[in-house]
Amino acid sequence: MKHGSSFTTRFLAVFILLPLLSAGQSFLDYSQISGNFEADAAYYLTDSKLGITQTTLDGRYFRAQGFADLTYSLKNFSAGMRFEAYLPPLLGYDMQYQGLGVPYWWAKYKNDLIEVTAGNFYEQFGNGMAFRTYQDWTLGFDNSLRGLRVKVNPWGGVTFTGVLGVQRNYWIPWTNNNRGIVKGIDADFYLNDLIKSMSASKWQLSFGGNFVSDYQKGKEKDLPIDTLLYKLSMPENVACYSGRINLTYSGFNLYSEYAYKINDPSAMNGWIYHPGSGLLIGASYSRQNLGITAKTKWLDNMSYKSDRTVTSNQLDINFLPPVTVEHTYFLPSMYPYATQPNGEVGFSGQVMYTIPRKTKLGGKYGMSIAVNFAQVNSIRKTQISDTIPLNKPGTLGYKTSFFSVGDVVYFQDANVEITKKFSKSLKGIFTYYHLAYNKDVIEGHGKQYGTVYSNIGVADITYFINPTYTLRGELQGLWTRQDNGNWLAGLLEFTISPKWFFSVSDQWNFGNPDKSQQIHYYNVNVAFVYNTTRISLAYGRQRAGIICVGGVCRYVPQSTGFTLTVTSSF
Amino acid sequence: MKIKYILGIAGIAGVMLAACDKLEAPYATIEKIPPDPTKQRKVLLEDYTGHRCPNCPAAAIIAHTLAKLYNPRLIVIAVHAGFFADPAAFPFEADYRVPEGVQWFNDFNIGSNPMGMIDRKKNSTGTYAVSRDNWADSVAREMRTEQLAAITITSQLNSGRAANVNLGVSVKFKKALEGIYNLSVCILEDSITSAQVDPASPTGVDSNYVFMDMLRGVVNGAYGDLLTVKVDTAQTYTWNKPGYPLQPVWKPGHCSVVAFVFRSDTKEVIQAEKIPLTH
Repeated sequence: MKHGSSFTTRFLAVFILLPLLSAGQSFLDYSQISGNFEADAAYYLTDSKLGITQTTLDGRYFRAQGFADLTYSLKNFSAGMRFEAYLPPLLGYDMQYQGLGVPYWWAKYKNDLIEVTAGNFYEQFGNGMAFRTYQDWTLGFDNSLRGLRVKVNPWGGVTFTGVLGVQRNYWIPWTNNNRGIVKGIDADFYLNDLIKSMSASKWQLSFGGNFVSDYQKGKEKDLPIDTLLYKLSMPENVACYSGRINLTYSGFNLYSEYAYKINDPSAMNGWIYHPGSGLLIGASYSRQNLGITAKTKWLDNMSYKSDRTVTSNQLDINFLPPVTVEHTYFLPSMYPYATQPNGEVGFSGQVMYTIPRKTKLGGKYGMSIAVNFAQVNSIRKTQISDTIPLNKPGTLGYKTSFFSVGDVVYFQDANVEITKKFSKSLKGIFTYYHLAYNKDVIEGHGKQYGTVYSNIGVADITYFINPTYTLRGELQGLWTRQDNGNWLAGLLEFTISPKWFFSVSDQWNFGNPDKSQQIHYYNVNVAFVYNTTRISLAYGRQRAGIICVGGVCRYVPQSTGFTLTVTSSF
Repeated sequence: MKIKYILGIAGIAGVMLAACDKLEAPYATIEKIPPDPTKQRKVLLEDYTGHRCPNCPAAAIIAHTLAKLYNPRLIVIAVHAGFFADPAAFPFEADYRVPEGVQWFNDFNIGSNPMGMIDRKKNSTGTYAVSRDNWADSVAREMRTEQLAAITITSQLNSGRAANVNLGVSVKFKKALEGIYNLSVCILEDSITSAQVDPASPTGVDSNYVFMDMLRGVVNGAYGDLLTVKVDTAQTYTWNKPGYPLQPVWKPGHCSVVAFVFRSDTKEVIQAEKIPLTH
C-alpha cells in the first residue's frame, strides 16, 4: 500500500493548520476553499456467457477508486491538493495505481509580474507537441510534473514560462534517477496587446516557441539485436522544441505548430536514432449558418517520454493532438482512433450548415447538417541502405521525406449528421457513419485482424413531454463483415428534471459469426442529482473495447456487475 | 527591473540549449561477453507470455538470445499467463496456463504480456515486472552478483504406462545468509508446436510456432517448500519427490527440470539450476 512522503505530510499539515493559526477576521474574509470529489465503485459478478469466472476476477469482486480535490486561496496565494485512492482500481485501469495517498499538491503565488508554483502542476506549451502535462480520470492518465514553475509577464502580451520537475508515475517515488528530469521554457507573444497600434485591429496575431529537455541517466544500454548483444549509446539529454503561430481575422482562424525532437532511441520507436518531427495546421471559418474547419497533421517519431523504456501511456512529456473526432454513441465509439506517434499523416474537414427557418428544407424550426471526413495514413519510410533492414535497432531506422504519405490507411471516418427540430417538443439527430479501422495498427495486433469496415446508423430522438419530463431514445445499427460482425443498440432515457434520471440500454452483437458470442450487453441506470452532487447506480454488462480521449486510449475488459458513481463539488 | 527577468530567462534558455546530446553513428557496438568459467552464479528469467500476444515472439527471441550468450548461466522459464494466454477460438484453443504461473502473474503484478522478472528482484521503480527491452541490462547486472548457493538436481525417469519421475535437489549455501529460504521445482518443455500470433508471419498467425522453455508444471506449489529457517554453510540441504507424475501429453525427451532457491519474504531468487529430465 502506498502513502505520501513525509514532505507531503508536512505540506498538508501547513495547508490545513495555516487557516487555524491565522484566524483573524480579515483573513477569513479573504479566504476561499473550493473542491470536487468523485468516487467510483464496482461489484463484479461472474458471468459464464462472458467467460468471467472467480479465477479471472482474482477474488477482487469489489473494487473502488476516488479522488478529492481541494483548493485554498487567500489574495495572491493559493494552494491545493488531491487525495486519491484505488482499492483496488476498477477493471481496465492499471493495477499499478493500487494504493492511496496524495500524489498531487501545490502552492502558488501570483502578482501582475510573476507567478510561481511549487509542487505538482499541469502545464501546456502551445498545442502540447513538445510539452503538455494533464490529468484524465476516465482514462486513468496523469503525467503531472512535480517541481517548480515560473511564469513572468514583463509586458502586456508577453509571457515567459519555465518548468522543472519529474513526472508522476503511478505511486512510484522518484529515486536514483528512475525517470527523467524534465525542464522547459516557453515564450508567448500576443501582438495585439504588445503593439498599441494593433490593439483595435480586426487581425489578431500571436506566436510562440519553446524548448524542452529531458535528462535520463544512462549513457549506454545493452540490447540483443538479432542474435548478438549490442551496447547502444544513449543520449542522456533529449531535447524537443517547437514554434507556433495563431492568426485570427473576423470569422477566420489559422493556427500551426511545428515540433522537432533530436535522437531519442526508446522502446516506443524500437531503439532507433532517427530524429522526430511533427507539423499541425488547423483552420476554421464561421459566419451565420455556416462553419468550416480543416486540420492536418504529420508526425514522424514523436513519442517523447521521461523514461525511454516505457511503452504504455505513462510518462508522456508531449501530447500529439488528434485530427479525428471521438464519437460518443455506443456503436460508433466502438472503433476510436489512437494516435500513432511513430508516424502518421492525417487530414480532417467539417462543414456545418444550418438551413434557415421557414424554408422548404428548414421547415418551421430550421435544420442543421454537418458533413465530416477524416483519414489517417502511415508515412512513407524507406531503408537507410540496402543492407540495413527497416527499423533496425541501433541505426537511424529509416528515411522519410517531410509530409510524405504512406500507403497504409490507419483510419477513415466519413459521417453526415442531420439535426432537426420537428416541433416544440420533438427533436431528432440522425447520423450515418462509414468507418475504416485498421485494428492491427490501432490496437497493436501485428497482422491478426486487418481493417474493419463498418457502416453505422444512429437515430437519436428527444421528446419533451413537459418542462419536467423528457424522454429520449436512441436506435443504432452497425454492419460489418469483419471483426465481430453486426450490432444493434437501443437506449431509452427518462429524465425528471432536475433531480432524477433513468435509462435502459442494450447492445446486441447479433451478427457475431460465433453464435455463442451473440451476446446482449444490457444496462440499467438510475441517477439522482442534488445541487452539485450526482449519485448514479447502474447494473449491466460492459463490452470489451478501447476508450480514447484526445487520441490517448486504454483497454477496457468486458465485465458484469453493479457500478456506483458519486460526484460532488463545492 | 523587467530587463533583469528577461536576462534571467535568457540565461536559463542558454543553459537548456546546452542540454541536448546529439549522437553520431555508429550508435551501437557488439558487446563481447567474456567467458568466465569460474562464475557459477545462475540467473532466472521468467518470460510472461501468451499465444495471442503479438509482441511475445520478439520477447522470446530476446530471452533465447540472452540464454545463448550467457549459456549456461541464464535459465529461462516461459510462463503462459495473462489476457493473451487465455484460450480462444481456433487456432488458439490450447490452454498452456499453469495455476501457479497464473498466481505468480497476479501476485507479482505482472500486468501484461510480454513482461519478465529477473531473479524476482524489484527494479528501480519498485516493481517486479521488467519490460523486454530492459532484460539485457537487468540480466547483466544480476550476472555480476555473487554466487550465494549451489544447486544440484537429480532426475530419474520411470517409463511405463503412467510415466513419472524421481526428483532430487541438494542445496549448499556458500554464505551464512540471513532469512528463511525456500526451494521451487518446475518442469519445462521445449519444442511444442502450436499457433502463436506473430507479426513476422505473413498471415499474422504462425500455426507452427515452436514454443521453448514452456512452464508445464510446478512440482511443489507456487512458493515451493521450506529449505531452511537458518542457513548453515556446513550443511547440505536435500529435497526429494519420488514418482512425480508426468502428463501424457508431455514428451519426456523435451522436458527439463528447473530448481531455484529464494528468500521466502522478499521472493528474491539467489540461485537457479536446470537439467534435462531424462538426465
